[in-house]
Amino acid sequence: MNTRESLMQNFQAGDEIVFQHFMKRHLRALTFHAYNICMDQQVAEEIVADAFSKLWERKSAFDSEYKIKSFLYITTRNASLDYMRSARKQHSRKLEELDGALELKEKDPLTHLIHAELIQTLISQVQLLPPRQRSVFQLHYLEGMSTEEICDFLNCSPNAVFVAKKKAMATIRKIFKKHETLISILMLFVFFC
Amino acid sequence: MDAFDQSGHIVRLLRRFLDDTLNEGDAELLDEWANAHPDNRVLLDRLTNESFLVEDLQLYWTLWNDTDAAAREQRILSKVKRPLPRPKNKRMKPVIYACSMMLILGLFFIYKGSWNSSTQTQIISAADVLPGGNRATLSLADGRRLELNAEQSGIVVGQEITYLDGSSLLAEKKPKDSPPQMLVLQTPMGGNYQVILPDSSKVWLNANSTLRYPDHFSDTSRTVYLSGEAYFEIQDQWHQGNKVPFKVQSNGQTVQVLGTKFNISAYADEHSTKTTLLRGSVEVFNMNARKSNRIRPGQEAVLKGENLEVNTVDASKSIAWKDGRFSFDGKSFDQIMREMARWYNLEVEYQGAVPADLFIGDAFKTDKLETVLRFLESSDIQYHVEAGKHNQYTLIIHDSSKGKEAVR
Repeated sequence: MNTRESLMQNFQAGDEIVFQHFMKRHLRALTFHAYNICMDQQVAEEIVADAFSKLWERKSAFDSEYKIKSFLYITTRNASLDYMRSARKQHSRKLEELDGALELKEKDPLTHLIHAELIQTLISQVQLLPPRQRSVFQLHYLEGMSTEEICDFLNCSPNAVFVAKKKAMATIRKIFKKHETLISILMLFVFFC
Repeated sequence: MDAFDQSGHIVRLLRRFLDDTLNEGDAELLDEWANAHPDNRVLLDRLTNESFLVEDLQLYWTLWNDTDAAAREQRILSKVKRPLPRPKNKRMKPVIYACSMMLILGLFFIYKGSWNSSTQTQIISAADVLPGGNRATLSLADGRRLELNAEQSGIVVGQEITYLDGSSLLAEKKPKDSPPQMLVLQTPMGGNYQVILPDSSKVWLNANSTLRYPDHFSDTSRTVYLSGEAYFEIQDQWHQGNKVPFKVQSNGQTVQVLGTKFNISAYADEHSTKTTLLRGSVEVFNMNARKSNRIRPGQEAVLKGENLEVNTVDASKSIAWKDGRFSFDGKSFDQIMREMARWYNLEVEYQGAVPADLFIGDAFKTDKLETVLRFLESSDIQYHVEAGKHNQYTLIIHDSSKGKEAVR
């Protein structure tokens, strides 16, 4: 019997360690997926925890990890959309905004999964940058700081910032090779520092 | 086969698409995928638009930035409802199984090796390469060297030396007030072991590591010596109203603590020595630069030559090994391979460049090599295993730039 099979059998039999393993593997991308639809962090957390609870309830029905994965994504999508519909009924949000969200987000669950996993990989790639380049990338792209703010925040000589950014660019280029605009923005703020 | 089966492949294609490294075959496959469902096309278009892509990255970052990620993960996991099934005690079994299989396989290779040594390399199935287990030796000051029981997971050093379950390892009691003797606990490739020190502090020793420590500590100092990797849970010890410091000396640094939990990875074949703190506070003294840094929980001190850098990390990943897992997140390919090498007793060879791919996720250390190497499939990295010298295997990573015609 191969290990993958025995892993699934242990899961079906209620092995807590295997369950933990599956949860940790999918938790981040799934939460991102839920958040992407409902735009509420707490709700997204609840939805994902619920999806895992349902998986555990029905564990005996899963004999492959792909089935687990598709179950998780479909459950998460449905719950997120349900939440949006009920939120809409309660008029707690702007109607147009919601209509827009529903129109855009009723995608194939498989596409959702690919989207979420891709974003997860890209972020993990950013986290492998050397510390200074990583901060520049994080502050600028992920946390939306302006040029001056970054120079201020990192509190280093313009020359040091210049060198760090040149290096960051070379590495980031691999991620965003196609996106010349981004690169030129970075260029700009190298110039200003 | 379920379409979800292929998601990893598509993710890889999309990454190549973003990096602009798609070859013709990839481009065709990606196009096929984009045409298969209108949503796929929408996603592809979305990724080509940098402002959307940055928006997605930001959205992900709001949830999973360094500051919030660990707490959020805990919160979600704690909300999952799961009525517990009957408790099972089966943790030891795979280890025993692995060890006995290892013995049988070992004998087999000794036998095979003696017949056709050096005539031809043997291709081995990765399914036959089994994981390590509880293995270590304990060397005593008088030169005796004891092979520790593989069915036990640790030893306790006190008045006498016993296994964790209380069964006797070394019956002779040492006389009181005799001078401290140095003991050496050593794990081979593919082995790990736990020790409880005379002050009740616990140490987990990872594969291919050595811990030197006295059989009893003095009232005012506690010092041990480490090469390789170990996780420490240090107990407070008091002397005349003061806490007695605990020191770990390793490759170029001394770590001084009071009472805390931390991990030190000081392998000679890694480029740096890492100290990761889970709880309490530790001071890392950089012997080369003669400077010290204090680190906080969730921080990691990385010593490279004279330079010591402090980073914020997910500390639980640094001790995944202790709980029987490999964690791939944020590690370079060759670093992951060095971990594999230590656990599966391998030598790793690259035919061509070291792959630059990044991996997420973890794997069980109780799995066979083949299962753990599944993560390579998602990147189309081909490999094979050969029988090597000294009962070691050689894992050969093929040149990935040459494409798919490589043998498997």
